[in-house]
Amino acid sequence: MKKMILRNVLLSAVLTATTTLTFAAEGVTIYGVKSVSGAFASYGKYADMGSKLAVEDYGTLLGQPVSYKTLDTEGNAGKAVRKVQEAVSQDNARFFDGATLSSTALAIGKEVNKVNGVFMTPAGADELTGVDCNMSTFRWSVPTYGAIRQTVKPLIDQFPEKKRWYTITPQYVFGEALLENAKQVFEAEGVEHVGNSYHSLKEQEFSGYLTNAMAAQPDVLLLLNFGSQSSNALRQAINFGLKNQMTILMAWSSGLDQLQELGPDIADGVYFGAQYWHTVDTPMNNALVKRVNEAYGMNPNYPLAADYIGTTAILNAIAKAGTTDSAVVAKALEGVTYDGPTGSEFVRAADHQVLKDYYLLKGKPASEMADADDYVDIISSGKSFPDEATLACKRS
Amino acid sequence: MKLELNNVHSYYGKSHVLEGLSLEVGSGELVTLLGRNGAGKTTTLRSIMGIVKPKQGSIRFNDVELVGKETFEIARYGIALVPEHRGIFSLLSVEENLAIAVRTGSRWDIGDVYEMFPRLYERRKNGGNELSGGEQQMLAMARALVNKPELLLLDEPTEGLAPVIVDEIVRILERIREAGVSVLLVEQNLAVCERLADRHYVLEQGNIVYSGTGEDFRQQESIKDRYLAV
Amino acid sequence: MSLYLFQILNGVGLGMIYFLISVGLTIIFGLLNFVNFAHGAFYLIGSYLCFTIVSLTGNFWLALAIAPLIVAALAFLTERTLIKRAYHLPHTYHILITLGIALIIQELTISIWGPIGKSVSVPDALQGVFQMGHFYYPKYRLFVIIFAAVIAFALWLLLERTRFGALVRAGSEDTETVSLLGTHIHKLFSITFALGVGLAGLAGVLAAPIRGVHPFVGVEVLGIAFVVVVIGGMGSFTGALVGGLIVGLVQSLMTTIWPQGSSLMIYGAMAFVILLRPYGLFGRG
Repeated sequence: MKKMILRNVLLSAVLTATTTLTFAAEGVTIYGVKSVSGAFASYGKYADMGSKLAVEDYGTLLGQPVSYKTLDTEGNAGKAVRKVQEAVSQDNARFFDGATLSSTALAIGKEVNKVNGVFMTPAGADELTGVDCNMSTFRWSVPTYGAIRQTVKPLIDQFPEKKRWYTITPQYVFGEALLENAKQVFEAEGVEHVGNSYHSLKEQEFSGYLTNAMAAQPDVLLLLNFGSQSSNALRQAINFGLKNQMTILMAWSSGLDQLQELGPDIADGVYFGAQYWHTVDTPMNNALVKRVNEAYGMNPNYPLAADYIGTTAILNAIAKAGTTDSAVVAKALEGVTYDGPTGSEFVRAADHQVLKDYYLLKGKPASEMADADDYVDIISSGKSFPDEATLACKRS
Repeated sequence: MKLELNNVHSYYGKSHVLEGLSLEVGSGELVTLLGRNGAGKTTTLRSIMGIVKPKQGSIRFNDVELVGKETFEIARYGIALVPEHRGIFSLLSVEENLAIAVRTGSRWDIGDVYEMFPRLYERRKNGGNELSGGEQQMLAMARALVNKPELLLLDEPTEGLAPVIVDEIVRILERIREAGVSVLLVEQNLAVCERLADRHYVLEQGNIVYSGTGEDFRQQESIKDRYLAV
Repeated sequence: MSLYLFQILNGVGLGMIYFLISVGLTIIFGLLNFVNFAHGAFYLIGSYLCFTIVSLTGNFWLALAIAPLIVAALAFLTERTLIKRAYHLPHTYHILITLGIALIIQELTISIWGPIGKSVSVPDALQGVFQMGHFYYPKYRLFVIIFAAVIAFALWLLLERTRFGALVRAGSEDTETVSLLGTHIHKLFSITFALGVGLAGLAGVLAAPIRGVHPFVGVEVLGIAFVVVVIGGMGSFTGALVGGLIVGLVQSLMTTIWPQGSSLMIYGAMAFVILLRPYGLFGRG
C-alpha cells in the first residue's frame, strides 16, 4: 500500500514537472514597451495597436500561438526598466518591441541585453546603433545622418539659389546630432549657415528665436526640433508670416499624426522629413494600409507602422532561427532582407540598424487633398547611412 | 425688537466660555454687559452673530432662532456688530468702507452719517489704514448705522480713546438710542455705562451674576467692587 | 535695435497672456485663501472649447465670446459642489483636491478629443502681419496685446470702481467683517472663483492659435502662473500684471541674450524678487 502511494506521489510530481515545462515552452510572447499613458500617450496608443495587429496577423509560430503583452512605460525610462525587469524575471520575457523616447529605449536595450534578449525599437537616438549598441538592440528608424541627408540635400538640389539657411535646434544630444549632420551637408554643398538658435527642451514659445531667424534673412528655415516643439515653432513661424518669406523644412516630423494636428492651412507649402508615409507605394505598405483600415478604420501612422514591422521582423527571425532561444534569434535577425513598408529593408549586422528609406514630403493646400489624410506629396526618398567603416558601434 | 439668550453654552476651542448664559434686550433699550477680561463678554456678542456657534441653548431675535444660522443671515435680520478691533478695511477708502455697508431702507444714509461724523467726511478719500483710532471707531459705528440695524452690538467702543473722543461717542450713542435702535453695549468704562444704560448685566466666568436697572446699579458699590475691580 | 523692439513686443504679448492666467489665481487666493492647482486645467478646457467651437462654426469670435463663459459656469459648479467644502482645510488639502480635479479634467479631455493635439487657425481678419516701414509684426499677436489690455482695464474698473470689487478687496483682507455687514459671503466666493477661472479659460482661447491645443498644456500653464503670482504677490491685481510682464519680457529678451537660459532666468527672476521682497512685489505680509 505504501509503495503504491509513494509511486503515485512520484508520478504526479513528474507529471507536474513536465506539464510546467510544457507550459513554459508554449507559445512566443512579444512584450510591447509602449507609452500608453502619460505625456506620450498619443504615440504609445498607436504603437501598441501596431504590435497587437502584427501578432494577430502572424498566426502560429513554431506550432504555437503567439501572444502579446503590453508593458506601459508611462513615458518614463525608470518605470519602463522596472517593468522590463519584472517581465524578464517573472515571465521569462525575451522579446521586446517599442519605446518612444530615446532615454527609455537606451535603458531598455541595456536591460534586455543582460539576458541576451531581442529588442526592436524605432526610437531616434544615434547611440542605439552607435556607441551604445549591443547584441540585443535593433533599430528600425533612420537616425540623424540619413534624416538630414534625405531632406536637406534634396532641397538644396531642388533650389540651388537658396543659399542662406537658418537652423533652430533643441539643445541636447539629439538636437546636436541633427545640427552636426546639417552643418556637414551645408559645408559639402556650399550653403551658408547664417545662424542657429538653440532652445531648451521645455520651450513652447518660439517668437524670440523666430525673430532672431528673421533678422538673419535666410532663404530656408530648418527646424531641427520635433514633437510639440516643432509643431509650435511651425505654427508661430507662420503667424509671423515666415512662410511667405522663406522655405521651411521640418527635418524630423512624426508624419501623419503630426499633420493631423497641424491641419492643411499650416502644412501647406512646408517641407517635412518623415520615417514613413501611408501612401508609399510598396507591396507590403499597400497591404498594411488595407489591413489597418480593415482592423482599425484608419490609415496607419508612423508609430503604428514602425511597431507593426518591428514586431513582424522579430517573429520572422524566430521562425528563421527555429527556436525561442533569444540569443540565436538575434543572430538570425542579422543580415536579413525583407519587404517592409518602405520597400526592401535590410538589417545591417554590424550595428543592427535597419537600412531603409527616409522621405521628404511637401504639404499641400486643403483644396488639393484627395481625402482626409492626403496632407502631403512625397517629393523624394532614399537611403543614406554612414559607411560601415566609420561606424561608432563596436561590438565584440 | 426683542433679543433673548437662553442657557447659552459657547466654547472657544476646548474652553467652556459661556456656561448657560441668559439675558435679554428689549425694544429701545440700551443695555450694558460688564465684566472682567476673560469673563466672556466678546464671546457673547460673537455667539449672537454666529461667529462662535453655541453648542447648547437658544438665541432668539424677534422670535426667530439665530443659533445655527450663518453670520451674514443674522446680520441681515438687522443686528450690527461693531467689533473690538473695529474691522476697518485698510485696502478700501473711508468712502468705500461705508459704501459696501449700505443697505437701503436704513434710518441713516451716507449723508446722515457724514453729518454725524464730519471728520469722516473730511477723510472720505483716505485709506482705512490712514485713520486714527478714534476715527476708525467712528467709521465702524457709521458703517453699522447705514447697515439698517435694529439692534447694535458694541464691543468696548471707548477702549484706548482720548476722553474728548469718548464724549463724542457717548453723544452719538444717545442719539442712536433716541432714534429707537436698541443697543447691547460691552464696556469697561463705568462712567460711560452709568450715563447711558437702562439696565446692566454683570458677567463672570460665563454666567450672569448681576442684573439690574441703571438706578439700582448706581447704588451697588459691593457689586462693582466684587466683579469689576481690577 | 528693431530686434529688441520685436523681443519687447513678444515679451509684452506673452506677459499679457500670463497676466490673464495669473490674475484669477491671485484673486482667488486673495479672497478665498484657496490654492487652486486646477487653474491650468480650466485654461485647458478653454482652449479645447475654442477648438471645438471653431471646428463646428468656423467662427473664432464666437469661441472668444462663449468659451470663457462656459469655463466660468463649470468653475461655478465645481466651486458649489467640491471647492467650498475645502475652504476650512489647510492649504495642502486644497492642492490635493484641485490636483485631483486637474487630473480628471486632463483624462476627460483625452477621452473626448484623443491624445493627439489640435490646431486652431488665426481668424481670417487677423491673418498676416502688420507693417510699418521696415517693422512688421503678426496682427494676431498685436490683437492679443490690445485685447488683453482692454480686459485688464475692465477688470481694474470692476475691482476699483464697483461695489462688487470693493467687496472682493475687503473680503481678501477680512471675510468675517464682510459677513458681519450682511454680505452673502458664499455667493461672493462662488462668483469670484468663477470669474478668476473664467479668465484662465479666456487665456486658453487667446493662446490657442499661437500654442496649439493639447492635453498636457494645463500643467505647463500652472507652473508659469505660480511663478507670476509669487513674483507679483499673492492677492494683488497689480502684482499679476507686473509679474506677468516681467516673466514675459525676461523670457523673450533672454532668447536673444542667452537662449538656453530663458526658462531658467524666469526662476532666477523669481528667486531674486523673493530674496528682496519675500511676499512678492505687491504682496501683503
